[in-house]
Parts: sequence; structure tokens; C-alpha cells
Amino acid sequence: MCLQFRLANMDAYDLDGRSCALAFAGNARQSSTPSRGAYLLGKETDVRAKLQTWWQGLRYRGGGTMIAWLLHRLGGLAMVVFVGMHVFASFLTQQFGSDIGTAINIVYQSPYFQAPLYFLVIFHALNGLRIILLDTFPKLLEYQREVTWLQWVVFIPLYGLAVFFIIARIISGE
Amino acid sequence: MRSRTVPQPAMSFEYIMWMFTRISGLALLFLGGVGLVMAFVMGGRKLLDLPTLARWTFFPNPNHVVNSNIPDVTQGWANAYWQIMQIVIAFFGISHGFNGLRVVIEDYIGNTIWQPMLRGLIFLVWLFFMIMAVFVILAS
Repeated sequence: MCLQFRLANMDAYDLDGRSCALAFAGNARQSSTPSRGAYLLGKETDVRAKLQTWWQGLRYRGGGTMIAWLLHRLGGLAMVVFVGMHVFASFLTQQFGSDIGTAINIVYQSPYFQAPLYFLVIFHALNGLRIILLDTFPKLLEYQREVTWLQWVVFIPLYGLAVFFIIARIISGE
Repeated sequence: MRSRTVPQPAMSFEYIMWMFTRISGLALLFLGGVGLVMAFVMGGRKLLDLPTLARWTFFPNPNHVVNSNIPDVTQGWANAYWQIMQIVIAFFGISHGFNGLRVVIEDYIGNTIWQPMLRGLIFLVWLFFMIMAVFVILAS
């Protein structure tokens, strides 16, 4: 399901069950061996080849779309953890009068937590919108790189607004 | 870069979840917009700090906004309309999130014996969080 990653490697844009990590490893390995990512399925246990592929995967440069894919994934995981902890804490507070909710609220409300969180959340929302738009109108996929730049153009003022309010809150000292 | 057309995929679990991710993402954007506008309408513009605004936007619950310095929230929020809104937001948010977690995990484990086990585990965690969220909404 890693559309953006596949778009960076246009040969694999379809909906088969092949995973992103395999596409990643497969593409990095393609030059050396034709068996694309087969060892990741547990067929091969050569640690050295594994490390080599990891290194090749890390060196892989997909450009702006790859960064967007990475940030989208990071933001999604961060939100699952953040919202999950928050719901659980509110449940404990409501039902058992526990102090956990208040304790983590202090962390959640601090500007140093808020700033990166808003970055990830706003980026995730905008990037998701881009993916939906490009999936719905596949013709636009040819302008993927330009659309990704456009996305940053929309993102920066939106996030700037959030940062402005965070900084204004720090300065006013409330 | 050039796109190519692929045949319409058959109905499968992956395809349905692919659709669901997009639909729930759009729904969350829409519901967040409704919550944001309503937060401003109901007086949030006078108390504009981001944590409070985020509470009002995504989870307008009397028990939730009581953590902020907004007076007498029960007047506006404690009714069936906002409870239904919250349940819908919770359903879309939690399902979108845990489905995303499933996709990420299955990207890295591949097609092994762990896949159905982790799928079952994620389903149970999803169910736990859904029940908990609905409980919090209805009990506050």
C-alpha cells in the first residue's frame, strides 16, 4: 500500500499484495540480484546480505516524494501513540480518578511537544489529501513532483500559523 | 515520469481497507472542519490556545474541555448531537489509525505466519479502544 514509494519507482504501481518494504529492498537490490526481496520472506538467512540490503535501502534517494512518504508514516504512527495514550488516560481519569491523565496532559500541552506534533498532524492531513486527489485523478500522477512542491507551499503558511499561536502563548506567559 | 493504467482491482480485504482509508481520511478532515467552526461559533475564539482548540475541534466532550479554562461547557456540548459526532469521529479516527498501523506492520513483516496473528492482535486492540472511547463519550 505504499503508493508514493511505488510512484518513485514507476514500474510497480498497482494494488498487489507486495509490501512496501519488499519493494524498497527489491529496488535497491535489483542491480545485484534478480530475486527481488525474496530473502526478506525468510528464504535466505545470510546476515551479511541482509545488512548490505539495509544499507542500500538507507542510501536510496527517492527525493521529495520519499520524504513525504516517510513523514506521512512517522506522523501516522505518532498519532496512533498520542491519541491512544490520550484516550486511555482520559478513561482512567474519568472512571478511577487517576492522575495519569493530568500528568500526560502537562507533557501534551507543552509547546515543545505541540510544535512537532502539529507539524506531523498538518503534514499528514495535507499529504493524505494529495494522495486521495492523485489516486482519484491518475492523470495528475505525471506531475507528482510539482504537486509535492505545491503541497509544501500550502503546508508552510498553515504550520506557520500554528507556530505563531504557540509562540504567542509562550510570550504572553499563560 | 509517466503513469499507466491498471485494471480495476477485485474486491478484497486490502482493496476495501484502501478505500476505507481514503473515505475516513476525508471524513476526518470534514468532521474536524465542522468541529473547528463550531468551536469558534460557541466562543472558542476568545480562548484561542492550541491545546484547547484541538480539544474542541476533535472531541467536543464536556469531560474533555473541562480541562481547559472554558466556563460551563455542559451548556453547549452535553447533548445527543455532539455525542453522535464524537462517536463518529472516534470510529473513523481509531479505525483509520489502527488500519494504518496494520499496513505499516505488514509492510515490514511480509507474508509470514506473524501476519494473521498480528492482524488478530490489532483487531483486538482496535476493539478495546473503540469500546473505551464509546464508554468515555456516553458516560461523561
